[in-house]
Amino acid sequence: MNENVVIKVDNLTKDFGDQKGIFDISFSIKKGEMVGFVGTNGSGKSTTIRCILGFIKPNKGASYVYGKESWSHSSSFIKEIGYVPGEIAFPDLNTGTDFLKSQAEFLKLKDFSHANRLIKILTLDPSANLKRMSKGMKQKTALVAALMHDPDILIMDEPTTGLDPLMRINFMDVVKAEHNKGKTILMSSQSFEELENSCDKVIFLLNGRIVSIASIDEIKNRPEQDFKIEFTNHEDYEAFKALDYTIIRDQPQYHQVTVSIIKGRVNDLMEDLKIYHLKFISEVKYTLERHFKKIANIKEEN
Amino acid sequence: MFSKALYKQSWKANWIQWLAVTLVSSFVLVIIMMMSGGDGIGSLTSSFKETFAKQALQSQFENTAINYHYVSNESLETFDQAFLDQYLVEIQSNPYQAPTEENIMNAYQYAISHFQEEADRQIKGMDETYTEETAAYQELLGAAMFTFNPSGVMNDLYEQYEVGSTPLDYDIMTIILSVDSSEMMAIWATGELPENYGDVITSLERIAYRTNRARASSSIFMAGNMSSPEAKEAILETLAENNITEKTYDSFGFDYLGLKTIGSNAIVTFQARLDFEISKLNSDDYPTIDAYFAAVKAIKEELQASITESLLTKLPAALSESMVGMQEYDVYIMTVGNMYFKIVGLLISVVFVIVVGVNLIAGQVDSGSMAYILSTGTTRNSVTITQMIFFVSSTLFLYLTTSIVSVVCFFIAPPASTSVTLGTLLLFNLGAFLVTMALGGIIYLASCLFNRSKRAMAIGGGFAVLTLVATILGLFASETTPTMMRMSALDPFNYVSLVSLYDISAIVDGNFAFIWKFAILGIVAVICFALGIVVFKKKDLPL
Repeated sequence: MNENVVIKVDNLTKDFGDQKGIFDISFSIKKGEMVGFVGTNGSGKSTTIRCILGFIKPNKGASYVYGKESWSHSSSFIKEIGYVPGEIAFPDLNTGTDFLKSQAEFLKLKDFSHANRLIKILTLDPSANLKRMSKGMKQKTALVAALMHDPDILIMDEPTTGLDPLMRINFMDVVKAEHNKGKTILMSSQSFEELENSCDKVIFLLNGRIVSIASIDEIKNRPEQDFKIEFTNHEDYEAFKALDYTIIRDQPQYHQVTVSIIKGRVNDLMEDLKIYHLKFISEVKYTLERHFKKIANIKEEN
Repeated sequence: MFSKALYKQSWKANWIQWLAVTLVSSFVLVIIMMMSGGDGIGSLTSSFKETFAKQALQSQFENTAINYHYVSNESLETFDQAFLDQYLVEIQSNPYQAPTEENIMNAYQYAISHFQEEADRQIKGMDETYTEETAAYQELLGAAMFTFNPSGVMNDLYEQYEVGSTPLDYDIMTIILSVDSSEMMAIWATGELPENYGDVITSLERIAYRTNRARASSSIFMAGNMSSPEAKEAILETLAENNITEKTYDSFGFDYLGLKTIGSNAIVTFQARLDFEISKLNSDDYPTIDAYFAAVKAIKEELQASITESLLTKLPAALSESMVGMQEYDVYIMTVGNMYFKIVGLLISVVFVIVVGVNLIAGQVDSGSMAYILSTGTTRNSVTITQMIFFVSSTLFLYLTTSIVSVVCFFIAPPASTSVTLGTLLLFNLGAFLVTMALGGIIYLASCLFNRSKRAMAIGGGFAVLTLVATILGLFASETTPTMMRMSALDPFNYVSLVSLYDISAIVDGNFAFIWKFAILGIVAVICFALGIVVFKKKDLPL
């Protein structure tokens, strides 16, 4: 096994019956990589995470962390994982401070400097009563608890769901900072955008199966560029279509075409367009969402 | 294996429940022990004793009246039959002549002697020791004669008991008139007795006449006898041994009129029961009418035998005998042992084990907070073992507290008379702890088994509550409950629940049977905890 592989999931299957569960999930996460899980509710994100943490025994296949099988050896590696569960529920303690202190005791952690730094960055008031904390405060407290002992791996189950946009950015900034420090991170989310902006790799799950694994690098550094062009009259539209361009979308009713060109050949396109009357021209960004939609459509067609 | 951090966290999460339950337990224990200790137990015991004595006396009076009535009634029936037999014989021997007064007198004499024979037979049938010389025999024969009242010999006695209570002379005219002239002619002509011979004796009117007469006179005779100064003195003497005063006895309402009502009511009830038993017999089921009568007679005798031989002459002895059970009755065991340790204290601590037991595992899995414990590298075994240690130790501290409280109360308010010692008191605490732990073990197992705390609560807690309900029902049939309040139909509940292994009587009696019962409770707890640990190790956790 590659030394750089921190988490390896191999043919993982957990069948809850009634088509629910996860089926033949395989992927691996390298050291320092940040990987996202995306998918609808019930697509199997949490189940996969629970298997990796050793909370659930798979029916088939296995997952490994540092080469150790999850179900049988989770307690030997789990200290190296900071976990932010999907449903934030704290033990029956009074305040956030009580909770963090109790967690430190479990971890036999004496040094609070890292925790205090995190609290400061997140602008968290840990002296608040746990029961009266807002969703955002709870998430932040959970993140501090997961990171206070500076673990090498961070696993988060939909950590930003239910947070307001500003809080989301604040939260993700902390996560990104951890990533930059070289932490291996696995997080699930329902937002493509969020993952696109932070992850190295995104796994798209649908009905318990992996539909696609996308590298953000490849998406961002695609060799092609797409432009949408609208012409003022039909003649120009027809004339342009006669040129040798790869048209990926054609909307004759608006005299509109979307063309795909090799990066760096924008000037050639501009040169060709000079003689036509254009209403507008704009670049169509190729996003993660578009990427997965394309793949999902192709899968459906097949 | 033991996680100090988790143990600390569990105390922080549950100390309020622990404190509340410990305070409530101690508070109730103090109240019960203070009430039962010192003089308190005396007044409690005497009120028990008074009710008991009243009940015992009333049942003696009732049974006495029933006995009088039974002998009288049976003898009257024999009289009627004998009178009719002899009367017909007289008619037969004087063909075609109207019956004379002499004929009737002969029949009457004949019947009287049969009446006495029957009474004698009935009395001796009641008890072989009742021979002519005994007071009991004299008393029962007296009751029969009092009912029949031949030639008004008992008139003075009737008037002495109750002015104007003397009944009319016993009616024989009905029997004489039942044989009319045509029937006489038939007898003389054929020499045979008429077909429906004897119907008058078994007619409903005649039966009612005899029964009513016997009931009225038996009630009067019983009431008169029992309210006499001599009888009252004998009763009071026995009651005095149980510290029941004359004033208390007078408050029972056992004066002449009260007793007469008691006797009369008891006889009516007894007759109704007898009639009901007889009505269940079907004469068609018997080959001959004589076989049917024999069966009726057997029922009568059986029912009569079930009535204790209560008689005036035996009253003091019977009363003191039934009071013996009362003297041995230990109210302190009832209140402190059964009421507190077996029911109230257990109920309170079971509330604690249900709430905390469910919280410790299932509650944390259900809410998801278990994820924080497990993600710190604490193994599942470490979680379950630590939580078990917390569970057992917190319950132990609860019972250590009640142990101290009970010992202190025992010295502050020592019970006046009881067989409970300091040792038994500590064993009460130990037993309650073991029962709580056995039930707690079952709750803990449910807590490990289910991911939903609601389900763990319903199944584990439901079982514990059911066990306590069975105990409360069983207590009504327990031998520590006074006989008059005992409901033996509920006795099975004393054997079906885990709490029945907490044997208060055996602890008090120093019967070592309680030790193996304690051992079973301990084993149940150990098995449940072990099973819970194994189950939790193997299951999927939705965290």
